[in-house]
Amino acid sequence: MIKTSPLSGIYRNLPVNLSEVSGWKIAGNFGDKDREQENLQKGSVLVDWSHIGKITLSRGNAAAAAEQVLKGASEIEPLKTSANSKMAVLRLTKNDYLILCQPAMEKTLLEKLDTKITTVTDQTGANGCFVLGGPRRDEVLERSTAVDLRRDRITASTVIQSSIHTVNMTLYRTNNFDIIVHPRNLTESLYDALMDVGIGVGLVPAGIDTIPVSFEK
Amino acid sequence: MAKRINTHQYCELPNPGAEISFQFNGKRIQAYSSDSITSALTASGQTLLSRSFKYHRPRGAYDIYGQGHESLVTVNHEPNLLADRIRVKNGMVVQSQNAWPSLEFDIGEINDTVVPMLPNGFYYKMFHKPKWLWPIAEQQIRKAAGLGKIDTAGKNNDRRYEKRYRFPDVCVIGGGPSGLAATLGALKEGKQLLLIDDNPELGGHSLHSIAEVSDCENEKLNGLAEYKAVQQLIEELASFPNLEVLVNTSVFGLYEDNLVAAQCGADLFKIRADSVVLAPGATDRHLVFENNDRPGIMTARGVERLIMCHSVLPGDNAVVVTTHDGGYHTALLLHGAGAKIIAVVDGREAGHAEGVFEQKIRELAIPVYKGLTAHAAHGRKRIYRVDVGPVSGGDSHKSFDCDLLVMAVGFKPQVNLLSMGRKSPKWDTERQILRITDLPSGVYSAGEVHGSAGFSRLYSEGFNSGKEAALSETTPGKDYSVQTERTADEIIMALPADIESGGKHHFICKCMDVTRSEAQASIDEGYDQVESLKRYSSMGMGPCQGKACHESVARLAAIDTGLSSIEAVPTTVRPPFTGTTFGLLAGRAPHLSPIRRTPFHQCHLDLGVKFLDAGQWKRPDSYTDPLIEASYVRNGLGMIDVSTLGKIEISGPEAVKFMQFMLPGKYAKFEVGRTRYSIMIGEDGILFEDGTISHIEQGIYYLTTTTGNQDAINSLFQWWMLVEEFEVHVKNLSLANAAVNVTGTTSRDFLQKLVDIDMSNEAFPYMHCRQATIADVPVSFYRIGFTGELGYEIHFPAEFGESMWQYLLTEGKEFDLKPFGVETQRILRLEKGHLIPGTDTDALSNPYESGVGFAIKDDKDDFVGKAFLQHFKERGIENKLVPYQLEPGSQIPDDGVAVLDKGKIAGRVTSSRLSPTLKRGIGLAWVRKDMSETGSNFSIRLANGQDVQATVLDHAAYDPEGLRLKS
Repeated sequence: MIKTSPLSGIYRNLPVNLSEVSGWKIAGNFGDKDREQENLQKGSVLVDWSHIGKITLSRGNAAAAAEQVLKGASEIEPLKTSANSKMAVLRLTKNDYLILCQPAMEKTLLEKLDTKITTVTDQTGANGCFVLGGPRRDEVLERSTAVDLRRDRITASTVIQSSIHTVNMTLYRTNNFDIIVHPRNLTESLYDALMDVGIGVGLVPAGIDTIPVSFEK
Repeated sequence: MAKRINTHQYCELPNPGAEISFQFNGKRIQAYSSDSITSALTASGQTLLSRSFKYHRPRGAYDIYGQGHESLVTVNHEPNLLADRIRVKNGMVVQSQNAWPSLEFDIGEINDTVVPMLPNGFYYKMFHKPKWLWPIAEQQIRKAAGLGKIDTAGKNNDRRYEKRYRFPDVCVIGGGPSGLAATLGALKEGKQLLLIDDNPELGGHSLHSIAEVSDCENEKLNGLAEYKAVQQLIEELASFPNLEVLVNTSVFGLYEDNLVAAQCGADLFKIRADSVVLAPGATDRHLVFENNDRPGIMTARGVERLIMCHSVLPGDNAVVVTTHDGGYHTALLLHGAGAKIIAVVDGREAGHAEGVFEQKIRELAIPVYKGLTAHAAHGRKRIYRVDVGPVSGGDSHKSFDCDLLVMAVGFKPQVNLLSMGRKSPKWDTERQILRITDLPSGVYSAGEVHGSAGFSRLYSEGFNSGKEAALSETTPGKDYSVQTERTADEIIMALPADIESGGKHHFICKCMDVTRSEAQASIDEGYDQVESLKRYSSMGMGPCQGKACHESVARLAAIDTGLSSIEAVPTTVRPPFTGTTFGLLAGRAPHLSPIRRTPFHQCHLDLGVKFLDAGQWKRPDSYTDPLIEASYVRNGLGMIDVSTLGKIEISGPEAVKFMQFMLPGKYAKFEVGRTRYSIMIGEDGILFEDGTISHIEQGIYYLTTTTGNQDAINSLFQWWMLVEEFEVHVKNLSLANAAVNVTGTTSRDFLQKLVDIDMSNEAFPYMHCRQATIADVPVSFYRIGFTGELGYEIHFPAEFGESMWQYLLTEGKEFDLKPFGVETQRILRLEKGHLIPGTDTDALSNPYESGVGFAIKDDKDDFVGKAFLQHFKERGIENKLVPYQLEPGSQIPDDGVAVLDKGKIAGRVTSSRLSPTLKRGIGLAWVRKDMSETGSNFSIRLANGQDVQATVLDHAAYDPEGLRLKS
């Protein structure tokens, strides 16, 4: 059985080329890779990463559990991140973590995590995930959220928990992208809202051919 | 006549840009791309811009700054835009407002003759007798009110309203010399700056000043004319990467914690700054005399802007009325542009120190008259003569033929943003202005808003304010009171608030057409406080919201009520400072109410669903007719999307202890594989939730909640886990799992085909749960009976939602599986007599009276709500929720109608439907205890006033023994 993105309704109305990744059907591109690349370089792109693994750790000794999957994760400051190319460990509070990982990798991580010391929840299907890339992505964000996302204050590896277009989100900033994790059931609404405000600032939907899943500081 | 100029004797004119054309009232107007609508119209010889609000008096260009109503026009179908502020564009369509049949010939001008004959505030006093008159009069008054016409049909509305956010370290408001210097001062401290100005170009009044800069701290600027110095300053600022500049942006509010609200076109900027520097400057003071509103009367800075920013000379023969050297500066600019200066009329008596420009005017042998001011203007659509006389009023001494009267009688600081309803301006007798000196923490101010003058002083004050603002966090507890210095020769005397020269057209408030005599009449009627005077006369309530007149209103109100000028108190200044559209404040509403979609949303659309809005959720109401869909379940097989249920997994060493505390049931002997009905009650003992709880694996429990309470219950659990420190894991899987309910007589047969576990009644009885796989997808089965039929809730990972739905429908074809919606489910559950908390209960419903007391096991240790439950138990039943049925053929009541006993209200119906199975009306109703016995009858009052008879049932109307769901 195929796993579908919460954006499947949007896909139907666009010339999407779907890629199959670990059982998921996810947008590879929207018919014009060159345009997506150009927007990534000069404008802004919105990529659906809903298929990445998402695990939350909360209560108990979440830091020790996080250490089990990524060395040094227990030392991260709250609202900061540690990452390698396969996963990013976001420390949300002193005792809450969100782990983002390559698609299907969550199964391996769930086996590693000691469920006795903390509450481990696989939220892969519960949350959608967007990646906002391109030099004009700040212009999309400044029209979408009342949160201060000034780049000299919210630097790479910083995590923000707030709302975007009234949708609760966790925003993880990297050097090149802003990764937005949000409730699955609001994904399509958030997509519509972001694309709506992004029209004037060169925002186009793009696929994982343009921004493949990879994590970085 | 006004005309375009190509050269100027004393300054360089700006590049006018490309030639373009636009339409004004259907007439093609040639212009340049640097023109504002007003400058282009003025250059084309268009004297009239608009008609006044009440008297429809002709109005023309005034301050070229866009503060008054004079420049309000409709541009491309958008009404009430300021022609002074809008740059013309090729093909733009501009229309004048408040005139019929035309701007030149407006029938409404008859008001100018008729209305003054009527009693003051006649619209409050007339049309009330006879009674029938008022509705007619009101309609006409409403028709006459207002200026532009809103495009209510939205046919031409293609504006996109955006909300945008900024978080600068320092926000400087005002791009004149003080604001620019403040920006520089703060930038040099390494801060992130946002500079906002409401004009298309930075520079403020210095853009049209040829005064030479001297003694400026920024030595590079000394020796330059102000308009060049300010350009150099702008260039210097451009080299700072930390600066963002917003022009054409009007700040309309300054709120708590330095929240600055600004409008730029259709964008609303919400700016949260660490510090704010206010340098809004000042505008020319309003002078009140006879016919002071006639076209051809302009402010000095308005004239200067037309000449130096737009290369337009607004008149051939000018009289300049002044009280300071700035008036001579304007006269010199007019002279250099080719105008004939008929006279400069200076309100000051001879003997004061002459300024630089006064000396130049005298060198040009232009007549100067001292100790006089304007008494009256003559002309209707354009002035042709002005009378001048003593500043104290009385008879006029002289008359001059002219087509332009320039007012340079001092400056009125724009204190609005300093006030914003929090601080009240006070009359500064020394500086002869209204000022605000005590500002909130983190707010600084500089420049003309404090009566300061001269480029070097404005620069110095601005630079220091900017620096202080940038360093504010390092100087906590700083005194924020404004301290500026003034020299005696900088003081500009304030002329009397009204030149008492006779006549009845001394307009105090030009926006609302309120004259001095009307204000006096209002005071005579008892409205002698400035706030009540404002409300009665509507002074200051027009488009400019008092910006032009609030000083005059305050001073005249003080005089007319016998107070001294120092006691002049203006009305409270509140945001918005500038006109703001509702669209801007609202933004685009769809973004404020996002839609929650279940994992099957697209599948529902494919089936042509009719959706039901359940909070933010889109749930399938029905796919066909709910009555038909009900028959699928009763006679065959149906499937409904129940993904919106809350789903919480509870595990850990103290899971049972936690459940025992949170829920009223007992779980110590709760066996693996069992499912139970469960309710939740608040600490007040009120029933607020029901669902099921299942022991799915050893030590792992799965709780389902209703759609509306999924977040609330998870939050409640998390809260109690903090308070009591249970050693328990609570996972909210509400979004992680999708769910369907497959129900109907053939549901077992259907599902058995898909799974490799034994689904027989013996192996998997009613109120049990099992785990299995369907097409390799892990699923959980919960055998429950909300529909009253054999049925299974199936939960599985949400990402398989669409695939699973399609798979089940495909595999279910041989069983004639059909989807059904929420409305159908409501019918089915009502046939079975199941309540829905929140629908059939309210904030006063306790579980005993609601009929779910069986779920409470109060013979256990303390649990949430126990104390109140004990109280309810002891008090006994007062009212009861009962199932009922109607006689066949009776009309079906609406939900919520009254239950009657002997003609008096004795309860209410909570849910009511036609049962397609029983072919009669069924429902749930709250009734008094004495009416709740099985077999009792009561009346239900229909919406049409008729009554139907209902009979209380013992159990469910459908399958009361539960044989079908247990089969």
